[in-house]
Amino acid sequence: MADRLRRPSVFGDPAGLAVFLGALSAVGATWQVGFFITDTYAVANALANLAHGDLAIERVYYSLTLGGQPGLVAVDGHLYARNYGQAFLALPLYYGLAALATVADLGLLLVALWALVVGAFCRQVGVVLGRRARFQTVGSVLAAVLVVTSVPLVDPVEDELVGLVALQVLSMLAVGVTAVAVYRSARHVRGRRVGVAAGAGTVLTTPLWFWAAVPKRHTLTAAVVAVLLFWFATSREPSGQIRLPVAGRRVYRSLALRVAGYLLVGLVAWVHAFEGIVLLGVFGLADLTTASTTSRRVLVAIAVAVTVGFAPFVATNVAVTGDPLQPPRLAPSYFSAQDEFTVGPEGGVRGPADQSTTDGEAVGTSGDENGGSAGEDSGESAGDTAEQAGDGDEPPGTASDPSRAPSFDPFAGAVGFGERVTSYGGRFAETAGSAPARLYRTYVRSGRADALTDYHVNDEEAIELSLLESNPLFGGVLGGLLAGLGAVVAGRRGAGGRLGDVARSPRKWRARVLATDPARRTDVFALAVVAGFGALYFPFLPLFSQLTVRYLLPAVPALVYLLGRVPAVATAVETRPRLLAGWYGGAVAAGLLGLTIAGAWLEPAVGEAMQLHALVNLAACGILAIAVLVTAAGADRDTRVRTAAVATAGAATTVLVVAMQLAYFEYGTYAVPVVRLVADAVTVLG
Amino acid sequence: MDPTHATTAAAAVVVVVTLVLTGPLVGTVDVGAREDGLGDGTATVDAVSLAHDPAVTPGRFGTGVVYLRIPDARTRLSAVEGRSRLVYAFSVPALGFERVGNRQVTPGSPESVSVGMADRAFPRGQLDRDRYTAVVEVRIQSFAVDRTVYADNVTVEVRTDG
Repeated sequence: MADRLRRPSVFGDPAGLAVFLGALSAVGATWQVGFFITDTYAVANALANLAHGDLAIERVYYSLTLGGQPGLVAVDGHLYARNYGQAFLALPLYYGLAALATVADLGLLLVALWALVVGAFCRQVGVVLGRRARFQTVGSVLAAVLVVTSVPLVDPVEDELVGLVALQVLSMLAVGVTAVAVYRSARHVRGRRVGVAAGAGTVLTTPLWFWAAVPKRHTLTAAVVAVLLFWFATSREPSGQIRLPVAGRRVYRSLALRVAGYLLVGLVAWVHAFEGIVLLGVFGLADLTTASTTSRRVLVAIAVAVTVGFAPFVATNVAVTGDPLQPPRLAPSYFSAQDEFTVGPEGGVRGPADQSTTDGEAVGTSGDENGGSAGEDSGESAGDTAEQAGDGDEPPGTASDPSRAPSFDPFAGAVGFGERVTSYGGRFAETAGSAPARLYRTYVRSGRADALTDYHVNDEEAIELSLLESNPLFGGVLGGLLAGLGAVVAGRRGAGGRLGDVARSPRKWRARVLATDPARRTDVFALAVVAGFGALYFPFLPLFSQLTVRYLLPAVPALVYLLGRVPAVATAVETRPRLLAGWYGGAVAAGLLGLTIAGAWLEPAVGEAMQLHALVNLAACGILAIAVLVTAAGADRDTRVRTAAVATAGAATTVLVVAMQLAYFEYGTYAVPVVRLVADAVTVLG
Repeated sequence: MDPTHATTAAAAVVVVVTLVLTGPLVGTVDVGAREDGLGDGTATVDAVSLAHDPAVTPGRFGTGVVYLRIPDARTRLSAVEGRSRLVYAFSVPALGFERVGNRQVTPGSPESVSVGMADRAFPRGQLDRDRYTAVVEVRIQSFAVDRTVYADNVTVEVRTDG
């Protein structure tokens, strides 16, 4: 009986489930059904074609033209998308949603699914607080009311959009998984309070909230990083045995988790080969140097896991390009053969491979790149086509008009894998000279960097914030690192001495590593993930269409974990949870109010609004970093100041992310009508 | 059944029944009464004014550009019938710039309606004159009418010093 009550759950405990449901409630509330970045068209088309049994893109369901879909590749007279991992993973959701859409209106169905999550979240909060009955009643009534009142308000979502919706749901689920995994990691090393704050903060106080509904690869990779982090943390410690579901053998839990980690990394390669390889390198290196066993049997198990994990990646490559090491992303772009393909009236694609039926008829037509943005009902456009982004009240966003947002994928192009690695190395060397400026613009202060970024595609708007501008909370990590460095320099910690020992006797090194606190080893892994992604994308950043440096989103869960490891921050969360929550809520309310007033007073353009956030957030970031440093120096024993600094930094991101979704970047139909009414009423921009 | 579970079950039934009644199989209740797009309505525009003089001013907060600040067009309406829309077009031919904003007009609309649009950024140095001429046009448009109610040339002053 007791066993059944304490059966293992992927959420860890009731609070973990509450974090998951809360994350989905938040990202679902601001969900816009629409294409924000044009690259999504190709993946959505791949998904819809897969659902109809075709690996190649035989029919175009989204976008009127092929030219409006960056990321299409042409192989042997057929078109493919560059990323099949995402499409395959979304396939079950596609079928599920398509089946439900046969009995329910898709628009209302999305509201109902969200309301269900909100109701379940209420109940789960009740479970955590020991008042399940009351919270469950409130949640149930709330869910029913949300659905019924939405009937007259809901915007239509055409059934054809189910492919896009499935990709968005997959991305939102990934953000939910990220929140739970960060909760469990932080809880594992620092207890439940820090766990809940880290899990909730992963969504509410980082840009993952914004990117949850944008079905790019980043949220998936971030989820994998978060899960790896948790498995890494728990597998550094002695563990009991578990029974394998297959073969009935018993193995150590820590070994099972490590092997599962290698499996998971393979799935990242399926989505994006280079991120998968970087993650494999980082995880492999960190795991093998800090695990307690690296026997031959363990290495064989790891090799098998890597092979199995990479199998879908290799199988897809063989099926599309015929070369196990050449992912679709590296196949020749559609643009190199665009004259050979046409799209029929029903969206049917005709290419060289279909020549048998239309000999010599395939003539290029698709030069019309301005036709895009189909599928998504862009409302009224009869008669008036503005030179720019359609309606004047539409912020000059990143997507909507494909001709203005060309895809830039540093890893795409028709070259072999080895060649790509070499040219990447060359690019790295080329850009190394401008490293200080690049790093400053990417991590610290964005502003306008003409020499490094092309602003033309964003209508000259400086809307790309730096990592610290979009994540001021990471000022806490920075402060923690500086404090640690200072302690080492001052000789108060033995890291320097330890390094000297390692140099003198490398053989003892392993024993020394294993003697360190398991949590410290996990810290090293988290830092390595941040460094790995930072290095991978260094030659390409700063870049347009990033907004919040989206290429570095996979590092966000690792950084949130590290924030929870900074003693000054963790003790503030532990000793002042009410002040933290209260100050955060108050700061969000004050921030939104202040933003409304500032908007009416300054009438900013979208670039000015984003840069105003950047400056405010940078200030909050700096204050937090100083508070952490002062605490580390032993000068501040009062936890209140730094609690307020943490809450303010978190609130600054929340205000930014909410404003981005409700005011600055409206790219689709709000799934939740109540939220749409709010968005319609809000004006910040002049 | 305890009251909590009864409430939850009732809520679930309400949600499922709502979904089915509005769904494609039954479809007895229409979803989304929001009227969008054009009808064949019309309206009389009594007055048009610009909220401020258009100007080019420096971008703030480190944006590093200059902005063409486009004023809202304020209109006073009467005799509104059906659904139509106000179309506000602002162009600066010398810069090859044109932008259009529009707003739906229904009998429920307030008497005065403004149409705004986003400011437009230009790189510093692209604008080499002290002033440009902008063409402003306001129309009432629906499937039944397309009537220009206001057309004027206005001066855009470039104030990028200091």
